Amino acid sequence: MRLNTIAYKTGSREHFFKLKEGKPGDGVCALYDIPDSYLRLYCIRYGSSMLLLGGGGEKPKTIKRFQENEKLKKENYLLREISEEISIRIKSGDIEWEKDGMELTGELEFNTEVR
Amino acid sequence: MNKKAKNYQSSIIDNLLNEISPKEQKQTERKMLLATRIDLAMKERGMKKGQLAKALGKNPSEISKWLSGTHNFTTETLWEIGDILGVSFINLEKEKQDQVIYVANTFVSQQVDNSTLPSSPKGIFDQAFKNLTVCASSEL
Repeated sequence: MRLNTIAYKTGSREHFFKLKEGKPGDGVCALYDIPDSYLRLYCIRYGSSMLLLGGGGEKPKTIKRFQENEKLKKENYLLREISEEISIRIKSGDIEWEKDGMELTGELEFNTEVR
Repeated sequence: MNKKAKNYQSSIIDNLLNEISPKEQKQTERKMLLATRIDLAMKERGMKKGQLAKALGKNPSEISKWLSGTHNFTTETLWEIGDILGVSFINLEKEKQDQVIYVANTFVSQQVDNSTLPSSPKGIFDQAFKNLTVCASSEL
């Protein structure tokens, strides 16, 4: 429902997300879930107009850092890696922004190895 | 070389989307749009989360929760936020005023069509308010 609203009504405004869930400046963030359900959905946010959805999982109250949960750690580190790769490919010209800033085109397949 | 991303199709996602009732979707939308209005009002006034929190005697994390678009606000909280930000999220007075003008105009135009205008302006308003009472009670 929240993703539907973001897609069709509001855009990916930053206040809907928990920011800085990745490396500095890589855009990795988590979408807040409804209160008391503790779900984390990791995403890469490019302003309000584009959002890449990753995976996520439940972050129990018993842990402080997501790194303490294997599933969350894996999903988060996967997006960090993809974000880094996208930046490299944008610099090299293998990936480009469409003129309207709403889409990335080019070499969009990634082979990642998340440890 | 300009390859576009493929359209991703998933029966799991389709099933999940089909389970969402229009009412649930509308409620989620309203919460997120309200959070957006608060955020825009804060930006217009150059107000940070910490400043709003201080003005309302709250913790900054509470403001983050409000802006996440997941919070169920009480009307009292909305009035408090509105007072600080100088915006009205629930404008009761304006709604009431609009209703009176609409009903009174309808009445006057009906009277002109029927050529049965009351003899004095006071008569017009007396009749208009009688109409307003009937409208209000029939809406209940």
